[in-house]
Amino acid sequence: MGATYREVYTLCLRVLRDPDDAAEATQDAFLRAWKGLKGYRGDAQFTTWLYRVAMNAAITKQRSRKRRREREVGAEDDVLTGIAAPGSVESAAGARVELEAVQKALETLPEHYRLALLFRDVYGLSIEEMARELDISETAAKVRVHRARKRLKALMFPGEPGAEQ
Amino acid sequence: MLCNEIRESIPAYVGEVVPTLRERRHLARCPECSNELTRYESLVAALGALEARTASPPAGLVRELQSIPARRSVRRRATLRARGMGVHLARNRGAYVGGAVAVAGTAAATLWRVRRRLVTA
Repeated sequence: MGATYREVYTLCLRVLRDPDDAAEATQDAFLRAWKGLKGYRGDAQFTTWLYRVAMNAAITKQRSRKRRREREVGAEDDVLTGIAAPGSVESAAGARVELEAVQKALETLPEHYRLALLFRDVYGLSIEEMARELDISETAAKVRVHRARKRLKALMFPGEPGAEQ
Repeated sequence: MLCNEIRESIPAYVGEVVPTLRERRHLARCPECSNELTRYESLVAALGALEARTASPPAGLVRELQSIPARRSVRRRATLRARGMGVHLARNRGAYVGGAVAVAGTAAATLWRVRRRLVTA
């Protein structure tokens, strides 16, 4: 638990963008994980399974928050700076991307695109899992990831072709 | 032109769709499309790297999480005790009902004798 609770909390924070809601969703996720350990068949990495449980808990919390008609929490500065993202990634072809910039751009995406990239590219969950959690078809999930990546690229590299969104 | 056709599909080439031979040949020859693919590869790699970048949870959350197994054990024991009591009562229904009737009968008889004594006195 010690190695994963920070990751699970951060996942929930990225989905919910509110530290209190994220803490509640984290507790819910670990409760469900503890209860559902018998159901873990070992066919996926443990962290992947736990991320799946955490995503479900965060999205459930998000839906109940919407049902209570609470004010949607915007990307507040203290939420963004709470997730340290120093460093950069360099591709094999030498293109460098600063993680802080990607994180900030991710936070400004519309919610459905942000969730799509969190599911697929940040936490490595499958299209099938994403479709099931978001209650959409697999085709819709693929389209959403595709469009989300294009939107992110347009934010990160505004002067380049394809940036006109 | 092939660039226009491929440009739309490039985001999916990173881990989603395998380009056809024709598309791969174009990517090998066209610097613009190749750069575009490199951009997306870098972005997806950067997104993946965010997984390890974590926030500091609120104080007290770890304590709450560590108490989960104990909470579930206490609740489970209470549930089992309640279930056990329910099973016991169901199995021994006859004895408990009979006993209750006997007690009620004894109480009623005692009350009747006391009232009779008071009336005759």
